[in-house]
Amino acid sequence: MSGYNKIINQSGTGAEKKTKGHWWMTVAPLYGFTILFVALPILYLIILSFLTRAQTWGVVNQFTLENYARIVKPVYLNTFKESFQLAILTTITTLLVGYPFGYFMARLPRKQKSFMMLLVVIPFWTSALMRMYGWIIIFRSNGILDKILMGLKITEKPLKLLYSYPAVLVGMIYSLLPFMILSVYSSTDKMDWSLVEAARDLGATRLKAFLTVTVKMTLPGILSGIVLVFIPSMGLFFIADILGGGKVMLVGNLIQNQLQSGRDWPFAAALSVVLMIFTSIMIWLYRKLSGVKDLEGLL
Amino acid sequence: MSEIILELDGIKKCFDETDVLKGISLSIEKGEFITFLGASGCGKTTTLRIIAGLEQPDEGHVRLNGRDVTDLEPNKRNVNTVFQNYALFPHMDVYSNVAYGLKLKKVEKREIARRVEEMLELVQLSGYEKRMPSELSGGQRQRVAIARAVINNPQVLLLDEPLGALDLQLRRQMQVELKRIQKSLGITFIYITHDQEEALNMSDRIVVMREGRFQQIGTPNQVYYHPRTSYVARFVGTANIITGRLEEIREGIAWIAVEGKGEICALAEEGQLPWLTPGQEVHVAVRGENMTLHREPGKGLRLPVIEKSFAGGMLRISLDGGELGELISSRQGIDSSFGPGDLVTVSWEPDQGVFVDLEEADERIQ
Amino acid sequence: MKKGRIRCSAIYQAVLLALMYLPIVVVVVYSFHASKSTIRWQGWSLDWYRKLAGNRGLLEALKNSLILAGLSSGAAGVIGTLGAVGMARVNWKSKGAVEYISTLPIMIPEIILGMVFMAFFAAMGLPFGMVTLVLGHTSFCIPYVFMMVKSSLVGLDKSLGEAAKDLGASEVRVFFDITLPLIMPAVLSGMLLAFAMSLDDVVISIFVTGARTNTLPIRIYTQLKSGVTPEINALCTIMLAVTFVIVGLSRMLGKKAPARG
Repeated sequence: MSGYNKIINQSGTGAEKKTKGHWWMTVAPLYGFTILFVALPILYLIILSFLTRAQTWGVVNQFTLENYARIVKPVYLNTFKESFQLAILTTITTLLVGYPFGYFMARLPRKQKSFMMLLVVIPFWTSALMRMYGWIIIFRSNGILDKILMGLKITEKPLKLLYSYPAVLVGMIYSLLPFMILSVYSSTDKMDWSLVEAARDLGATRLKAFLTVTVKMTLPGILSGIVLVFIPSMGLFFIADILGGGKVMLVGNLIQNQLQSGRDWPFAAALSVVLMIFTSIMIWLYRKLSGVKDLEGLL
Repeated sequence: MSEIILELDGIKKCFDETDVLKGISLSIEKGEFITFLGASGCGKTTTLRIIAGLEQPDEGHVRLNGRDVTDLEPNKRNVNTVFQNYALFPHMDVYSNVAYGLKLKKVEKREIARRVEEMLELVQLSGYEKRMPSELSGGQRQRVAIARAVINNPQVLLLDEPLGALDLQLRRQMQVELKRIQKSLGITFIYITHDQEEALNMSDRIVVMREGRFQQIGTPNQVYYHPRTSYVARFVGTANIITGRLEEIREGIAWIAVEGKGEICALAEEGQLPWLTPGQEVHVAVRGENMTLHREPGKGLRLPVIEKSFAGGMLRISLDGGELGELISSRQGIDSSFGPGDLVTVSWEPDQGVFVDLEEADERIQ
Repeated sequence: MKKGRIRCSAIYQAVLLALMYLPIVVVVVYSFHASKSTIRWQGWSLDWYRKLAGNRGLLEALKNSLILAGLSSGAAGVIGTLGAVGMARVNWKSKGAVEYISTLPIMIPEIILGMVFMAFFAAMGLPFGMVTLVLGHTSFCIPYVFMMVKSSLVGLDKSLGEAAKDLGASEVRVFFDITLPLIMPAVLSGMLLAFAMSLDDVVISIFVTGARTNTLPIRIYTQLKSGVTPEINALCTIMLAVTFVIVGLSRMLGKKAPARG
């Protein structure tokens, strides 16, 4: 039957030559919107990053590399470094915590699986701010966590966790964990378990079979989870803002500050371009490594 | 009676630099049941899609009732198709599926209802109007697909391996049914299959296709008993092809020497005589069930037995033919005194051997 | 041995789930709290829900958010669906590039997208407000619909469209009679997803909103930074209930519940 299917598939291209006619009308809105409101704005941002800031307000149409040169200054470089550290820490933790979860989830019986999926998805769908607010209540000085810890006599006085680096880290991990879980889940779910059985049959220990077969087979999910966690973790300025209380400065915060208080748009644009390049490299690497075009578990 | 309804004229089609159809021409008569028979990838589905208008040929013309419809969209030609996987609209019930074509033609509601009822009766599905396709069995879906196509009164009905997904018993039953529907409606059926039994059972004419060309066009009888090429002989009813040198022709029987193996015979027909000259290399097709095996030496081929096996009440004996390849004899029953290694004489009645043209790379089909 | 392992994994999953729901539960519980303080529990009450009903600003923000989400997911529904169906048919060279660019809004960090729009709209001289909000939100709503519809089209039997054409349908009829009804679940669940994303968005909204247009997330965000009144808890709890309904709906529509991504 493969021959038949081949012909059907080929016929698609054959028929198009003739039926193309009015199909352009269906894609026109997408083309128009994408070019006008995605491509063009991004292009403008890139141009903006090479322009000069005006003395008082606005932008002067004068080419400069000054904005990029400024990024290398220790103050800003340090922000990038800190952002990366936090992003890497977040990514590693979500991987370590999320992988087993996604893996176990895929091994559940069918009915429980879809129920578990629902359980994972619901917090995901609730307002991110609401969940951050929940953490504020928990971390607040003399808040729930302090009460519990002091009640258990683990600590004697309030920890003052809110507005600290650990609080931001928890917030990040908490917000991004579902991406990792779902990515790992979707690739584990697709895995051919007979391969693991074959490895076991050939004498591999449970651990060895896991390391050589399972990890390798779920690699696309792991990679896509890493990308899905790492990229946003550099831009989620509001988590650092709310839970860090201004003590933790990320690239996202830097951009926001430049825009709203500093009013230095060209510099903010340059920062964005650099961040965008990082993002593109990560997505490119992901495609290269996993050979998959769309991110696993994205939908 | 012999009114031409559909004409294919030098159709060529190429996909991604592969020639799928290499210039085929054919005239089909009104009311005919014609079958395109061939292995998958031979171009039969493409031919059908070109007739339906789902595909445009690179070269050549399709004429329907004398009118050139080559460039006409499928919705503009009076031809309907029963798709291989039925392609029933899953979101519509049986009634809506069958009525769809008439609705598009803006036929009056009451008239639609009347004709749908009539059609469902024809395919023996009265009372199934409100069922969804997912609630039907394979055979029932098949019937709906036929009703949905036939209700439009097409000049030609195209059927693309319509029974392919059904089990053997249902397939046999549906063959009879299809033939009955075709007879009662008098519509021209163009039927596609890779199943030779189906083709032989139902068709008025069979077109054997291979690699984008017609191998033979003829009645089931002609195709089965007088295959023109080694391919047809092997594809329709699996025959053995034996190559030898023509010695002489006596009283309509040709005698052929097979080097080191013996002598065989074949029917030399009137029409073939001018082309047959002694000393020439010829190929003879013999069906396994027509072969007789003896222990004693005699006229025929002397060959060793490789093995014997049973398949569906048939006894198959494989013989080592040396350069001829493996020959397979089959016969009813399970008892046979021959065993592997035995030397046997293979012979047949003169009219069971048929001269055929040798097709290159024939082995691939086996 | 095997049983022990399963129990271990079950405990692990339960603990992690509990942690995931902890902040949500906290917010819900405090929405019924009798006092503004979160330090000491002072009994249950529905005060905050009553106060919420009288809070004009908050309700106005909610209304804006709903309008915004409705308009953006609606526009994305049309553009994304038509686009995905059309993309499967046209054979242009630019197809891959446009498809890639159109998904960028959900690939790049939100803050960049916000920055991009802010700079662009300012340069274009567009007045910041509902219009800019809708444009910005539509851009990241489209990919959700587009990708959902695209993947449902892959599973769509091509011969159905051919069968309809064979029976006399024009391309337009094929779209409305066959294609659209069959991909409708994907269209709707894509739109619901887009709706939820739009309703929840802070980052892009902050950048492209005008001084006078508040959305709910923006209001919550500013309050979180200054001082929270528990009316927000009450509102969040109501929104959570709404979310449950939406998730339930999208579950019913598509077999596979879409994860946000």
